[in-house]
Amino acid sequence: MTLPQLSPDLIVGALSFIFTLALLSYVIGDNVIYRLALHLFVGVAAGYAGLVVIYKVITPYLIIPMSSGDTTLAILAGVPLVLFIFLILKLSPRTSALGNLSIAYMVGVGAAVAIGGAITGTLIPQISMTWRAFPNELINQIIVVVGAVATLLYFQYWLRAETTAGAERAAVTAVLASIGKGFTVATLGAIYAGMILSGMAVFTERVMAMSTWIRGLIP
Amino acid sequence: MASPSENQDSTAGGRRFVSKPPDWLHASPPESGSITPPVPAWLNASPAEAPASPSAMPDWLAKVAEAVSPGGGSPPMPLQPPPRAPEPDVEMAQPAAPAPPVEATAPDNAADDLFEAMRSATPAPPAEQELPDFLTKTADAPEPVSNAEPDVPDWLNDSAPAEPVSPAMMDAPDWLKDSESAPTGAQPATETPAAMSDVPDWLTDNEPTLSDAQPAKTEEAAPTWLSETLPPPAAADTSAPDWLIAAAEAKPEELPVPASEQPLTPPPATPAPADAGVPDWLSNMASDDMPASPPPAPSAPPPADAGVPDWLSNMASDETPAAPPPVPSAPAPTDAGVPDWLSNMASDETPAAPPPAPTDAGVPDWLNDIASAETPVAPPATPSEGAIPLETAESALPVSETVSGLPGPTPAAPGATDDLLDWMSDPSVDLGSGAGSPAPSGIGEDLLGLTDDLAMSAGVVASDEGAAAAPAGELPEWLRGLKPTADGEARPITGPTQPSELSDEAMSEISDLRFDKIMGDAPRGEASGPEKVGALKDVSGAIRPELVFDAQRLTGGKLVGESILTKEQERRILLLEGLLARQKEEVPISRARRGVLPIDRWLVALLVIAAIVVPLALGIKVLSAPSAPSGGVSDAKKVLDSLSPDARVLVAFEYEPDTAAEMEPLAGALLKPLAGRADISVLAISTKPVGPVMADRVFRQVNPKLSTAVQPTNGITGRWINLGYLPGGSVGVSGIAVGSVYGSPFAYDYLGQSTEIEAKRLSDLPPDLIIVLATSGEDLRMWVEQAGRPTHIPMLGATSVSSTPMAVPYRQSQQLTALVSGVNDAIAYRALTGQTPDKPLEAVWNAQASGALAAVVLIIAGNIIYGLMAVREQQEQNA
Repeated sequence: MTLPQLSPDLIVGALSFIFTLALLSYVIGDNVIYRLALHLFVGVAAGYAGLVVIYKVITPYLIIPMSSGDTTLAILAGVPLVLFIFLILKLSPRTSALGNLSIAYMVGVGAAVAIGGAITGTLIPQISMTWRAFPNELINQIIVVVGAVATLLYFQYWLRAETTAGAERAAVTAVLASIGKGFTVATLGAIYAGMILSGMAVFTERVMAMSTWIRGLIP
Repeated sequence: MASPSENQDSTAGGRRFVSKPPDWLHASPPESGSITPPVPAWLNASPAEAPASPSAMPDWLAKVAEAVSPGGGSPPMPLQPPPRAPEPDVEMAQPAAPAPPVEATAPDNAADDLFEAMRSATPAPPAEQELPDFLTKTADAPEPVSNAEPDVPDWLNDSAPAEPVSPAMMDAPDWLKDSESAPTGAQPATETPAAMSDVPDWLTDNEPTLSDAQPAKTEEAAPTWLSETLPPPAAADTSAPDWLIAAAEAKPEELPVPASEQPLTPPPATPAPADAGVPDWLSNMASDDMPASPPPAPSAPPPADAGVPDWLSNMASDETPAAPPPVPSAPAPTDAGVPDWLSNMASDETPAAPPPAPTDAGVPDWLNDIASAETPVAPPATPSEGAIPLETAESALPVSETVSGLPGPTPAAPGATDDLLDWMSDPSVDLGSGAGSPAPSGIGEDLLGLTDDLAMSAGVVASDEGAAAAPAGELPEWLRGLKPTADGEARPITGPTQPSELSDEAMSEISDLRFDKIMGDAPRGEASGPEKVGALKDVSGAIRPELVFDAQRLTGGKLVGESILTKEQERRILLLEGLLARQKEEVPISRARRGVLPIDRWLVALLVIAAIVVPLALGIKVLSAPSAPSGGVSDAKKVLDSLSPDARVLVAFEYEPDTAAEMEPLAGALLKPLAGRADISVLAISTKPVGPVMADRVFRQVNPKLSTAVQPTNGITGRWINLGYLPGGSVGVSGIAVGSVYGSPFAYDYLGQSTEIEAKRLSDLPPDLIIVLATSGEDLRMWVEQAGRPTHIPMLGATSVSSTPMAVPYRQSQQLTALVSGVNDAIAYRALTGQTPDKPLEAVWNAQASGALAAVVLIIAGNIIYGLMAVREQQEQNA
């Protein structure tokens, strides 16, 4: 019996096998092997992300424009550089106030994009779609509307004035909230079921990969 | 009787509201030889002379006459003429006399008739019994004013007018006489009845005749009333009080030297001068603070200064312990003219002691002190005149403000003032005690005890001097401690080196203010030593900060008299109390699970693993592969089949290696047919850092030519380009949809190689289809909102099974042209597009199905089991 030649595939396979078992060891509980494998994965992911940022963000959007000789590009590239420096200054309590500018810029832009997209890309099309389906799919649309409203009411805690029994919701609100709770439970259940299936698929692929690797070792 | 013209004020500068008194006030001499004063004719009219006709008498008079006359027939007796009325402007009470009815007489005899009627109504009392003397006595002859009656004080006699007084006014009260004779200078001659002594002196002092004695200097601006009070300068006749006369006659050289220019001397220990005209109360007041004391100490006292007020001299005497105590003033000699009440006061207040000899008689001591401040005073036993020369007083004040005859302001005793000021202004005064305390630059700076306090021990200072201090109560303690040094300078105030000593009485009062004494509690332990900080630093026995409010001993029952609770509040209170009680209850810790392995977890995991591994190992097909494609698979096929030649497809790889096992088969199934079309360009992009890696794996899997084939150079047609990482998340996606100022985001691939794409936005590219391979619904939503809506580019969604519920609404809203999900759709799509079956993929599908089946069974069984257990526990708790 000859040992297989060390090939990158063999090494990679071996590592994947080991780390797979290490992560699956969480079944028996938290242990050192699991934590070791977890930390390795997190570290590798962080390192890879850093490299990607350097090559795909800093270099093309900062270094190249500032070294291009174009004043306009240099100034445009300097603005994010200044914001970046301000953000770094947030590490010190005395200069942390300057970092608020960068955070404000990021939060403001992100909020604006998200809100604009949500309104124009989700809210309006969904409402218009629901209205267009009427009255062809009446029952379906009624279920959609009732479900949406009831789910929103479930997360509203409007209470009446205190009564002898204590503060409580109004009767109508309580009924709609219970319906919304049902829709919420069904949605979460569906999502959980899909997660189980996705996990099954992943686990299956892993098992198959390990089995393949083991078979590869067997001459 | 003085004529009306004589009523005018003859003195210069005088202003008197003088008018002619009515005639009836001026009684004519009696016709008979009776001693009655002359009465007006109308008062003397006999009843026979009654008016002929009743109509001549005023009605009111007639009514009075009718009411009074017993039978209406008795003739009214003539009444004694009323005393001469005073000045019209001076309201004088008419002598009380009965008002008998008066028969009506002729108009011109109406007054006489009235008088007669009044007399006849009542029996004429003996003149010496009923009527006052002044009404009965007749003014036979004006007595010389200068003749002083033995019972009338000189000052009173002095105020009598020089001109003879009419007999009618001889016996009139002084106040009456004085006011009448004031303009003319006539003095009422009185026999000084006992009642006259009750007339206050100040009233009788208001004599216009006094103004005659005004010096010429005061004629300009001194008011008449004031000038009238001045004694005549050359009072040959003592018409004015002596003290007033003395004041008027005071000479400048006799004025006292200001206190600042002369040493402090104790005030003369003499009371008011032995002047018959000086009221005893004045003299007694001057000598009130000069109690009887033993003879002076051997040490030479400062010279007594007659001009120093007593209060000031007393303070000086306190500072100079050797200063002799003041001699009590002697009561003024009893004068016949002095009212008894004045003489009584004098005898009660002052022991027998010779008064000092004033310069002028009649001037009180305080005036004497002011005037003769410079002159050395005789021994205390010797009374001295206290009169102050007029010039002295006048020189002290402006002429316009000087009251003629009255002394000027009393200059302060120089010695006393200097001594007082010295300590106040002495910069060397040490206001602090102890080491290290900075000496304040001025008095009063360190009142808060920031440095050493001003607290000084009177006892410490007094003990050093060894002299008797002033009687307690005269000077404050802080002032009492100030004593001049041997050289005459004030000794600096030093902080106490030992706790200050308060008087016993003060200590007891302070100790009574303690909180524990007020509350009746046991006294707390004394503080160790004096206070350390604050205004009471180094002071022992002072009030310490006491506990004012002790919350620990406070109970609500003592504060709240009554509380009103509603039923709801009571219910809540009971509920809260129950919760608190349960918190205090010990909860037994269940030790059954200690050290127990998670069997249930292991069992579940084992079952799932078995359900997956066994079919794979044994090749057992639990479920057959799906043959009929779902709606999404068909739609996806339609979309991909409808791509035009030279179409560009942008594929967004929004998944990571953890879900690659599920997404890669789906991605491969979708892109495999595109790899067979050489005219279709595929551009891969990702907002996740590891997305480009996933894209490269798929590209290599579906298009083996990418690894070895040479990419076309004429544009991007037929090229599969991995654009790499797109930073910014949703902002980055929005950026490529809107445009970027930094150039084309498609210019370089994930390896940094130029793609020769100059488009700056999606609309410039433009892709014919966007395929979003997303594990989470958020990533799909991001692309739909940021890229699909603004550009209206068709979008195909390929998601995992877990995110399918989140993507369905977008499919229903036609924002997604197709939606495929999971391994199941991948197999179906492969089968639909005629791709070769992927055995591993089918095995995965088989295992996934088996595992899912096992999971379903386990979930149902677990719900049943744990549900029953929960119900049983609830029943046990309820029981």
